[in-house]
Amino acid sequence: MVVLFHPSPEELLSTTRDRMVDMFGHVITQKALLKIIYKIGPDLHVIRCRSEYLGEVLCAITLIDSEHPAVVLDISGTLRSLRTRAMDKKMSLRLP
Amino acid sequence: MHVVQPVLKFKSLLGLKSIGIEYGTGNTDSIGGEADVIHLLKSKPSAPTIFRYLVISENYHDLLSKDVDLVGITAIDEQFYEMLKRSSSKKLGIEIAVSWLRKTNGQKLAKNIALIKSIHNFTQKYGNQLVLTSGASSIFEMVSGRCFDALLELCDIKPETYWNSLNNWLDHKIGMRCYICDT
Repeated sequence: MVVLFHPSPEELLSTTRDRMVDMFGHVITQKALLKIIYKIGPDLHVIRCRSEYLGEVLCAITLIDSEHPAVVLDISGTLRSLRTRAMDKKMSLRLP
Repeated sequence: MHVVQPVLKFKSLLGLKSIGIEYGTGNTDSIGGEADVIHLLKSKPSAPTIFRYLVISENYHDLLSKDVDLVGITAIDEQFYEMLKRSSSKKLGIEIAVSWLRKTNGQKLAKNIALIKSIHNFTQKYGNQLVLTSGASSIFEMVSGRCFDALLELCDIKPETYWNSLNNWLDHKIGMRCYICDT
């Protein structure tokens, strides 16, 4: 999925994991296999998770209790199509 | 008008069909008549408008007020369900903001999820409508359609049922108002 988040990708991953542990516990968080794939510009990040836990991950990202909330812009089953669409979104948002 | 444009651009990126934008107090003459925007006003305009609107309140004791369409909920007491029962004929919207849920820790969040489920069941029974909103104060706090679906599923609410009933409720509420036709 493509996530708009202002601070670093590491912070996105750690705050999402913290919220997920808080909401669903350590076991579900581990099983979800959250991983940063790459970043597009300073604010757009592509992250991956197991599809079985997509709902839990989306809830955790939406409910991140941080000074900088995260916005899920796109979801795809393949990285190739996500990469193409992410570039379009970057152009639409005019991110540097 | 130019303040609304970035929000509209972001709205389409998030896969949302229409959005509500809160308008403070003051003159409503500067509000444009965008088709996919519903303006959320604190009080009912005295004359017909060119824009679609709903009247909102943050105090749920306004449930029985005849002008209010949407009431924001952050805490409830025993009176709430009683007032909701009494206001059933008005088809009121009960708003829960994601920005409020964000501020709660895991334990309180679990209680709030149960609360949303309970309010949804209650509103269905008495003809009112649960309205889940982002409560965003900037575009970076907005919530995408897919994330709303995930939150609804977390609350054991079927997204299709929710969106259909919200759509019907909005059509009913907005259709009741007087507007100036922009021909």
